[in-house]
Amino acid sequence: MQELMNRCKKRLIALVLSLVFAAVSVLSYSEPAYAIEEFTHGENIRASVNGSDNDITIKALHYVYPNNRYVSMRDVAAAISGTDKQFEMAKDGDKLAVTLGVPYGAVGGENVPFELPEEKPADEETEEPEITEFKYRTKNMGLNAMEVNGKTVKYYTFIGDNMAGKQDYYISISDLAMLLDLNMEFRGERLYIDTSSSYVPNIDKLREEGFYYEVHAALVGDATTGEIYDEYNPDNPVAIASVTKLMTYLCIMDAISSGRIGANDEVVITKQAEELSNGEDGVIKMEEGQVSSVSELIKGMLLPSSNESALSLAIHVAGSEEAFVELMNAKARELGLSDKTVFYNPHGLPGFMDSVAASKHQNRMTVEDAFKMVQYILAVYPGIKDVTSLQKTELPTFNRVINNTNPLLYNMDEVVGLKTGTTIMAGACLVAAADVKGADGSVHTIVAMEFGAEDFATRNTLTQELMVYGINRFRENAGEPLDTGAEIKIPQTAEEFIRAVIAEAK
Amino acid sequence: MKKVIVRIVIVLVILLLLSAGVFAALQFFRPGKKLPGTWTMNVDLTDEVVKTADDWLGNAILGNKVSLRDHTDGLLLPVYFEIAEDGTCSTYIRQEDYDALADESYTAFADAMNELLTMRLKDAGVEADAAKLDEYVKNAVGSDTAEYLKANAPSIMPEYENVFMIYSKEGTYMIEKETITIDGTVYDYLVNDTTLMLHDVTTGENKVYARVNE
Repeated sequence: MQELMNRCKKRLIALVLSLVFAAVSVLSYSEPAYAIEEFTHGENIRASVNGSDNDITIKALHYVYPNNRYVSMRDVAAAISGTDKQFEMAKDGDKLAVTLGVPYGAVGGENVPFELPEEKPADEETEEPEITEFKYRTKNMGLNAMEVNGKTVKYYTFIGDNMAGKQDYYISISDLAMLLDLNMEFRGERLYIDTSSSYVPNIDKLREEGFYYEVHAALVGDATTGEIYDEYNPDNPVAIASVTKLMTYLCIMDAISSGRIGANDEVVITKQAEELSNGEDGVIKMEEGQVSSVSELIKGMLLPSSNESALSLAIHVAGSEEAFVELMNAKARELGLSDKTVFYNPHGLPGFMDSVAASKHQNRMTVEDAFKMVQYILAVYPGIKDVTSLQKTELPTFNRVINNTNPLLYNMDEVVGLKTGTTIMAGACLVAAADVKGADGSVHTIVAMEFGAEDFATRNTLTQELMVYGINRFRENAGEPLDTGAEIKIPQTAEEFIRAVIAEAK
Repeated sequence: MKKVIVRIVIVLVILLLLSAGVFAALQFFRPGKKLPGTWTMNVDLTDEVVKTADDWLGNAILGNKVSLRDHTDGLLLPVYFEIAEDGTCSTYIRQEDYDALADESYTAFADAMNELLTMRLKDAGVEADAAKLDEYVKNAVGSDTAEYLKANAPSIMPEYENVFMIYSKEGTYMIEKETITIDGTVYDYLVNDTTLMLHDVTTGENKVYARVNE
């Protein structure tokens, strides 16, 4: 009995101690402010605003690689306050609110340099380089939303504290230049900020600086006229990941326009689609036997890039995935695309082929072929823009609100979609389209695309720069407004002529 | 007696045929008599016209196989070769032939464009016969397809002045036995009432002219 009492007593003491320990742990825990990403490479950049001789310090963090600089927005805000491109920063709930054209109200710590370790010569005996002691903690890099003059934009940023403990945002120099519509460039080690003109990408200079080395292939052009403004590795076949779904969309629309299926047809989810939705590549949870519709699945396929939606549509159109893939390849040949463009499935995921030599195949295209395909889609089925320009929508069958994965949709008013794509082999891919009105009132669709970026941040920045370049080129080409009054606007290219006649016929 | 008469007739017929042959051969190879006059040959501009037209159609073809070449049997421009008895000669083209060829070229261009338009309209869910297509085009651009193309597409015809400069020349010729030398270029030649063939002895190029009946 005594032994039993002792055991109970011990257990009671252990329990009380555990509870006390747990309570102390909970009370003493507070989430570290920014304890997830730790930078060891910081830089105090000497900057000059509008040619001033006064050096201003702009703090920068180097993300992963040297010279991959993300600069302090507060430092830049303070540096250019009083110019045409001045802006104010404030916290609005979870978001950063940026107001353009307003003087910056300093909160402290702006343009105060990082305390970087002194450069010391290497140890003469071991000849080992000095290890830096700089550490800076921020939240992980993320696609953080900001309100800019009331409009939500999304850029990859780090959120951290500045030297006075005030929250600061670190953003890539290119993204900030586009966001503020000003020019920033390094000459030597000095950063020159020019607020007197709009952001104009100099494609030749960018090329010299290795702009395109960040991707496998890229292109920017006017899809309305077919004019290509610039391209990189135009005829190299590259893996295209979910950009594939544009061809899937095209084949589905062909089936609708020929009357083989209807846009409101019911589509029964198959076991195959359910399995895909439950796997690691699943986007929207689906169950065999659920009844959706063609139009609902098109939204699912194009906005969050649902692989199971693409598969369900393919099976609905052709009876099987394999039969649909034949349609895709036949369409590629019909469009006159090169034989470097090949499709193996309707969604763009890697697929293993039945081959002795291990063959993990991915759909591939050249950028010139992709441009032709997009041109065709925009010409024949321009309704795609109605879908891909949605930032979010509902899929009632699956009880889901889905978001568009295209980042440029948020950052540029002119952008109307089109499609993202990512696999390990393909890298981060993006095809973006923007409707731009020329001086004569005509609307042209400018298309910028890149395949093979290492990460989403690079994908977004590079494609946005290409898009800005393309829009600038189009506006330069468009020339002065025509004083035509009520006269008919005469098309100047074959494509414009055809569109004018189609518009008349409809 | 009868046999003798038949033999005489046969001999006479043979002699007559031989005489006719010799006479014909003499006539054929009498350049001085046959050469003067106006001759013509066609220059084929099809490739040049097709290339310009197809390049322009190119950015709108988008997979449809359309070419001006499929809408013409050949775009040929007559070049004239006038040989005078005084030893001078000239080549030239005529504005009316050029204009007629331009009309023919733009008709073919419009046919190709209309073929493409019909395909694209079909892709967009609109069926249109020729009359309907013409109506759509007139409403859209204020003219028919050929007129629109003439006014707005890049000129598919080489400039008249350029063609004129290439083919309009004046010079002299000289006949020596079986050759004719025209401005220093030596040709073998064959000529009859309807045809003149010049064979450039240096380049091997042949030019075949037809006589223009004036």
